[in-house]
Amino acid sequence: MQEKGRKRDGTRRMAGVSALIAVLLVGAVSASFAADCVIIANKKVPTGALSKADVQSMFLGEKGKWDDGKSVKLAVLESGGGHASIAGKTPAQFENTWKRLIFTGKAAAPKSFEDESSLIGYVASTPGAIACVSHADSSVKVISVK
Amino acid sequence: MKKIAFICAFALLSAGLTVPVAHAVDVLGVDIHGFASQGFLLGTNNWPTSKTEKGTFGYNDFAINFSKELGDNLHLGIQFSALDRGAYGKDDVTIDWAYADYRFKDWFGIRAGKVKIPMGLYNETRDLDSARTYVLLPQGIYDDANREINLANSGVAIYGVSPATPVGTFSYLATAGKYDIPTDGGLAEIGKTMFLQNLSSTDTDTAFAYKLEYSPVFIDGLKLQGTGFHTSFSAKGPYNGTFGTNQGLTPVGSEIDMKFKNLRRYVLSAEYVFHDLVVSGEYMVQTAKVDAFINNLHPVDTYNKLQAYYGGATYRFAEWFELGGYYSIYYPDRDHKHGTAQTQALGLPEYSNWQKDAALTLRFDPYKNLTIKTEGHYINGTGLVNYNRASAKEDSYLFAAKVTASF
Repeated sequence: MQEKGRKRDGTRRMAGVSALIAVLLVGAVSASFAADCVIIANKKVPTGALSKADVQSMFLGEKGKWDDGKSVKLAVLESGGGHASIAGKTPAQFENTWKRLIFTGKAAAPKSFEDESSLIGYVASTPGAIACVSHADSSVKVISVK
Repeated sequence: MKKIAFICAFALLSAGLTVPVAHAVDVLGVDIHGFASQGFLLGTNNWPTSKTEKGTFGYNDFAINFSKELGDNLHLGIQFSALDRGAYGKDDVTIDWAYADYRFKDWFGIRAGKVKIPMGLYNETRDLDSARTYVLLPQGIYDDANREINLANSGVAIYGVSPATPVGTFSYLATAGKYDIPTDGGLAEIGKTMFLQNLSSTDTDTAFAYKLEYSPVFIDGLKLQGTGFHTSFSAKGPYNGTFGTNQGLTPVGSEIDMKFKNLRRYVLSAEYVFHDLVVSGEYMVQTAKVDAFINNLHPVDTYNKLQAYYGGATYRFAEWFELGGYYSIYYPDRDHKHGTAQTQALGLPEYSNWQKDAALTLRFDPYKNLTIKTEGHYINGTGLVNYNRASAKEDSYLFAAKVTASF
């Protein structure tokens, strides 16, 4: 009876550990691609909504123009931020994508900022600017993703 | 020693920045980026242009670029680079690319100047060590010795990205222009290891290169690409007597003129990205008519028919660590994968007709601006070996390491 009890305890422990590992793995995968941020843009951009494909394309330097012909000016936070997951990439992949553009002359590097308030200030004052932040304020336009 | 000291200083400076590459050094509105890579090779057979049997530090790349946006449509930029590949390069500074880019629409832009040639997934960025996992790209497609033929064109290019369509997005790039083959570069070194004393002159026709890329909407993370490259070129040099003097018809010093006509190279590529996993594969064929003239006689009339392919995968386990590997196969003559009577008559073993390479790479990123890699290769065959081809061993090993600092 005691041996059976020990076996049940061991099995439950294994199941519990397995479940915990599964949750952690799923959580880790989910977290790396969660859209944790709000897409903001300069108030003069010609649209208030973009498709997911267009957002990704802008964040990867592929789509370089708004519909009015103005150039897209991407801004990012130096330390993390959701810009990589918005682009559908891991942080390393996002970095490599931009390195390939910069070191072949195909695009200028995104402007980077140490904190969100500086980032938001840049977006508010720069025509064509777009970024991803945790909280927007009234100085910028919030872009919905359709 | 000076080179190593420079690399260390560059690495310390870049590490101190601790910012992503996205952050340029900005001087008077001009963005400045750069990188410095120092490698080490040690192998039991000699690498294409490096004598690696005793180990060599003759494997490095340096670059610095300056760029500026003028308005919404115009972008100017120039990149200076220097490299060492053992027998050539010697860290001479050259212009890697330099062009004006006018983007009318997302789907149409023009570049004029010196533009990188698209070929496969990696040719445009083949010297940018920090943007990929491997130290050495699969050499059958990205041969370090033959790189000068398809590095960059001085001419024009058109490019664009389509809007998102119901089936996905498309992008294209097409270039036309002239390129130079230096008489003291990788091709010259290949010639010297085979039958030339040196390369006295080269001549190139206009080269055309194009790329079409497709990202299907129904498979997120998949990218399919096709590239093509067309050109003709010739190279002349005095005969070094390697293959005998053939009853006086080919005395040492006779001028050999090798003409590669209608060279066509095509690469099909696929890359699939799933979270931290990247799987890729490429297939290449190249065909050229080769006419060799010796003292204006025409004894050789043949074809150059290369074939190469590889499959590889990388996985990033942590922000600071990535593991990758590939298996590549190269045939210098895809119609005779075990050699011909001619190659046998030259004393070349059967295994000189292929080169199969299994590679495993460990990449470490201790800081955002610093990359350290170690890589091991097991190589069967000597299809790409140029030094001591007849005596090179069938099975060989190569160790490669590289440190890169960038900003």
